[in-house]
Amino acid sequence: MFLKDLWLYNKKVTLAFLLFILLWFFFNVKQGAVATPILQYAMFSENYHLGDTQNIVRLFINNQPVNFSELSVSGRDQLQVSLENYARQQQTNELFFTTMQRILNKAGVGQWMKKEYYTNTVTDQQFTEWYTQLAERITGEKIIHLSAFQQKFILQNGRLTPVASPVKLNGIVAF
Amino acid sequence: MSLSEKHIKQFSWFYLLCFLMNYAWFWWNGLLFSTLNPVFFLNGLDFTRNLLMLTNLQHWLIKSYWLRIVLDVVYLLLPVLLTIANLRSFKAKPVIATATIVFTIVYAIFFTSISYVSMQGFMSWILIPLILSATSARKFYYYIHIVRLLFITMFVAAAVEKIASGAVFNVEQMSGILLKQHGVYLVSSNGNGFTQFIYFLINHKTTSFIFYIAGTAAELLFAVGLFTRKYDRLLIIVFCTFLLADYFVMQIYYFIWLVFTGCFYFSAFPLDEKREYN
Repeated sequence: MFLKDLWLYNKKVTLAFLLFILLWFFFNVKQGAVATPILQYAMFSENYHLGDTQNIVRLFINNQPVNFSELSVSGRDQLQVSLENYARQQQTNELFFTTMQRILNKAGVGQWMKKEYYTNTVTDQQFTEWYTQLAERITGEKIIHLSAFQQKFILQNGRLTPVASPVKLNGIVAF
Repeated sequence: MSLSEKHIKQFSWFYLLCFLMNYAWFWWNGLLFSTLNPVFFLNGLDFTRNLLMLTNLQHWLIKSYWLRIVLDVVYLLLPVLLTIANLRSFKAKPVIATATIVFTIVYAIFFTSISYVSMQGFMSWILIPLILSATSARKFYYYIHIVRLLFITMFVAAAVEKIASGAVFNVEQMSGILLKQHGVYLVSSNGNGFTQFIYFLINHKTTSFIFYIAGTAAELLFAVGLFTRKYDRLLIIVFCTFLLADYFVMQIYYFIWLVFTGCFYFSAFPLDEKREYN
């Protein structure tokens, strides 16, 4: 058996290996926080249904809708996820800071966590400038006007169909 | 043939090749600190991340272009240095390997906080340097099997999660995933071949569910590797098929894990004066 051989070869390495596995089990069973490099590997394990409402990003460059199917796999993800992440960064960072500080306080570390370290200082204007450059690089278009929306869709008659009006993403400011 | 120094060198070349291919892919897609030039970061429920953020490196990264360049360059150079150390049998090999592991953890934690790339992918560049820290064939043998077992545990866990959550009993699962994964693509597309293919799968939930079950079965199949290494070559084929399907159906780039196949290839070689454990 490999573990027995490993134990006979090097007890410290065996203990480190077993500790890693034990911690990994602990974090996976708890399903909460992780401690890199001990991570969770859920990979599409939550339940999805055909009737799920899809909140979809719609991007308009120079008043024309961006056709994501013409972009690279990575370019598509960058344009979409950056908008989604920016929209939630303030709330998410605040929540995670409060949670982690409460937990790390028990270890006496929380007192060193300064809130400004865990908070972004970026303004909507700065994000828009950055996102415009990103979109220009990915789409290859010179951007004069940019706007972004989120719109709810559901599957109807075999196609994704809008069920609500598009909601403007305020992270992108007019320019 | 038993394991020897020659195999460590072969593995080093394989590691470097995989790393450079991935680095090139990331660079080509603008996925480096210096090409992304981030303006904000996202925190996570990760103890290590939150402890590293005590350094405020996240704000320095946003402010300093040169810091971003330095991080990207060091991230590229360390695996090159580690490979050279193995090819030339440097005594400082374990130090270089440890530096590579620690630096990759730091790099990955901050990089994943400013991009869409997931932390899980970087596990390949965190774990494989452990193997290449080996200063003898014996150490190489044990480290290969440790990383191999860790990889199996990670991969099988993904299948166990799917069973535990009941996702493998939900016939609509894959169609629902495709809607979520390709929603932006489908809504903006003019109806090309890939759009029709995805809509076909969405609208034929049993067919698409077969894909999901096949993927879960592939993950679960790796549990065999916990008991024997007899089927490791077969597992390499299964894993490569999994990566290709992930790319062509899900449009997810996971070739960053390709380097793990090295563990399943070299696991076939026994250690001299050592019996095989299967």
